[in-house]
Amino acid sequence: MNKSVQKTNRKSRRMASVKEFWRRFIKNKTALAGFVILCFILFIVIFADVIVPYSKCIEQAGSERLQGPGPAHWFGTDEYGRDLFARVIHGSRYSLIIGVSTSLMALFFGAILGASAGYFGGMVDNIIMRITDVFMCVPPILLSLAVVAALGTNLRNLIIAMTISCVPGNVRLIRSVVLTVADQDYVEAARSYGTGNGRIIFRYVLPNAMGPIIVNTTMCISDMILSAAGLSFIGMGIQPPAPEWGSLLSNAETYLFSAPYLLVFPGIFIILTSLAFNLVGDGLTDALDPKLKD
Amino acid sequence: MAKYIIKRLLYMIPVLLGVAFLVFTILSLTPGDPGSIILGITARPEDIAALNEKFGYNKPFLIRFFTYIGNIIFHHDLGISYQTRQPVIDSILARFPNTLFLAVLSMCVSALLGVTLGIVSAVKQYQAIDRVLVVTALIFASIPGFWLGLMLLLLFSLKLGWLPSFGSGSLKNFILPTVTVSLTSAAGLLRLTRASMLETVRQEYIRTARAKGAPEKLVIYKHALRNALIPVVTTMGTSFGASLGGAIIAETVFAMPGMGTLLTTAIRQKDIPMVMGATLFLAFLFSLVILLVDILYAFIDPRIKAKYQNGGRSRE
Amino acid sequence: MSDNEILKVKDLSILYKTDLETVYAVNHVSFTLNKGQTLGLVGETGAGKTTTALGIMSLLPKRTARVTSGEILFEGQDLLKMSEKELLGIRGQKISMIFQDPMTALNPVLTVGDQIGETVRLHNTKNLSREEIEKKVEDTLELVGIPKERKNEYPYQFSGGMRQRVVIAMALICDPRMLIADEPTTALDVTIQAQVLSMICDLQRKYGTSMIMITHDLGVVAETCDTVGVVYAGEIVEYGQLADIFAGEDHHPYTEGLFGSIPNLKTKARRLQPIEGLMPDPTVPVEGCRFAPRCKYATDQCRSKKPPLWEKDGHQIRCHFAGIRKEAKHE
Repeated sequence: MNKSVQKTNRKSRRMASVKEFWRRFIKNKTALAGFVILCFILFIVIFADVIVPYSKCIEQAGSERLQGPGPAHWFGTDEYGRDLFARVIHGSRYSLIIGVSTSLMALFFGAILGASAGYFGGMVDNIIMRITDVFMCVPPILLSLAVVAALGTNLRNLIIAMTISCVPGNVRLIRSVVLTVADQDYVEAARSYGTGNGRIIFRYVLPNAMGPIIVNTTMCISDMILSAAGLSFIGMGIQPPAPEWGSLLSNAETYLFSAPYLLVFPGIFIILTSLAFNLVGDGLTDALDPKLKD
Repeated sequence: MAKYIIKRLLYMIPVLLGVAFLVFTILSLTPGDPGSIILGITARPEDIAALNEKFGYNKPFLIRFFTYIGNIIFHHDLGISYQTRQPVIDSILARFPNTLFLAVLSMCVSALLGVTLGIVSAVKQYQAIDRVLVVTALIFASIPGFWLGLMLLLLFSLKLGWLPSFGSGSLKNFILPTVTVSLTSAAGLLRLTRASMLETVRQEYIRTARAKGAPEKLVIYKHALRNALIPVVTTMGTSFGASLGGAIIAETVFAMPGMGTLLTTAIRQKDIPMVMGATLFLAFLFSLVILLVDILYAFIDPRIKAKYQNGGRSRE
Repeated sequence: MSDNEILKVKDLSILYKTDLETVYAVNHVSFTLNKGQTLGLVGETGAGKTTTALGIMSLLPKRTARVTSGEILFEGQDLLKMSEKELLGIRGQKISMIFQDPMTALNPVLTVGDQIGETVRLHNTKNLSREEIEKKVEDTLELVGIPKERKNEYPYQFSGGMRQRVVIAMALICDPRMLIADEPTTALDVTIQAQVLSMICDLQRKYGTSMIMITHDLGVVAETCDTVGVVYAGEIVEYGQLADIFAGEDHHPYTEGLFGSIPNLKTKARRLQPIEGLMPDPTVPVEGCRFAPRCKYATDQCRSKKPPLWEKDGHQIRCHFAGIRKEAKHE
């Protein structure tokens, strides 16, 4: 068989498995629901400026303070008369940026450290894992708080803080997955042909360890969105007047009784976004692991 | 077994030192010297320098670190608060019981709820109750704890007036915070227990048990459950960390004097010794819980116990 | 069903149905096991041997597996018609099973003594006291060659061969009338295989237990079986006494192939003759003979028409050319 035929074969096989994966994924109603919600949120994030201009988020109107939901202000207005709908729509960007960027960065560092620990073993493994043990002894939110306390509260520091708190878990997960895969015969075989370490890690080990890693990252995004909102809520994350969902809620607490809608709308959006990632992650688990299906 | 526990205890020492070093390093990144934070920018430079000198703030980093550790070990001293000028340890000890109580209570409630419902869900796989439980768990896992807390507060304290909305005086004060923290972490435990249970009943030893003529109940509760709980127990430590984190945030919602409110206030006031003391204290507590979980784990899984009994080698 | 027979399987068909595909695992299988004798089911991996065994035990995965035809008469009663409660009294007490992989067949968190004793406690018809049960466990352990002191150890403390002995003890402790051994030696080292196998046979003879021996190893068949069924793609293609299979005149081409693919020291000049090709896709229903695609004698008739069952003195072959082809072969 010549090389090009081999290549197309491999390609078509990959296409087939992607197709099969997709078939299993959309068959799962909850996963499909998650995917639809996710598309909806992504639509909002991308077209936020088209839906409602950013200026409406910051435009204060003393005469329109704390108005309930109505035709002029769909979600009502806050204590400065700012349009809550506009603030919620634009707030989606913060949540998604924080959720996705922290998860991806944590994945990146987790993959490098975890894969090296699992693959090389011995001294490297020992050093990385002992340091991870130390990090694991500090609850994530505490670690984030310490970083924020030292560096100050802003978007960049929040991302750094949350990434740091998320890396150790990823290191452990990826190490264990890599350990199982690195034990497989095909990796042994590749090694016996004299394939280099880097090539083995990136071509054989990581792709075969992808399933649990993808699922974990998806779920991690959801966790990070919730944590970011939580940190902002206690005033340790994104600071007002930025329309981050958590800090919107932090303001709303003051008007809990008089203007509960201030609480409801941002809350629903946080839940929807987080739920979307959880549902998709759940669907991915089932779709990537056919044996779970009996 | 004793050997295992001693080994784990000894391993705690470097880990705790590491934790202290980590927290100390992070908080040393704070811009500005303590003298000017305490006295404010309007103070005379000589006074600031004198204060820094007095507290040893201008010594090299490692010296400061070891002095700090030495003070903790020998004098149970976590430093002096910049704000109150009182020992940090006093504030912590005053606030800490509330947080611990809330975290432990929430942890117990969520374990009870999560594990039980997880088993129910797995046993009734493909039935309506399983679907309902799984979707409910996913929704609860997606609700921010503080939001749930605010909603409960709105309903039960403000609208119905059944429960107090702030303080920590009586057990009643703990009901809403406990529900808030435990519901979200129970959701995670439910999913984990269910997945682990489903994985376990597929194992061959379950088929062996059935082949012996064991009725379904015995198969589930004797053969499957103990194996299925092993991964659940290993995450109990992390789950306590989540409860602790949840408690920190819930305290803000329910205006409860605890470590969470102490920490956030200290961070806002740039009261670094207080932040450091509180963080270290909670991290130490958390490490102890992880240790306890590890020991518990060895009791459930004989393979772990044996590793330490016969010279670390099991016959495979 | 005559008094001499303990198990009679008639026209058994089992399929697995998932949302993706339907696997026709067992297709119209019939065989008979006489009291005190051993029936061998021999064939490649995936031929449906284990499914047949699980079918007899009623341990098929509930959601996916369906028995679509046939009956399984055990001591005259159809196991397929029994309630779950009745089956609980049969499994472990009257019929027990030895599994293929001793590494996964034992519960890792329970001691071996507990696991062996459980079978007795579940079927305690003689009302044995706790001490008597413990005694019985110890006796059975010694019987399978494990010192009784080891009953409080956990499975991970045993080697593969020892674990299989534990599984055997577990299966035999209630003196079952019938034993299903599903590739009991496949997962073991070659040197251990013989030990374990001869132990199973000794115990079987000692207690007069009837046995179904599932294997892909013709050597095992030759040593242990009285009757043999050769299974191919969920079908019994040849069935007869041990002598019929090993020394008979007529054979199914698949059986010939099986013998051709084992090394023979006596005729060393000949090369091994593997059976070309693979087993047919079990998800596709077949019109003609299932072996036709791999059979060197196959004709159009084989590909289009299901072969009838040829029989001579109890020796059965499912082939269009059984009894005829022999001459053609020597041309």
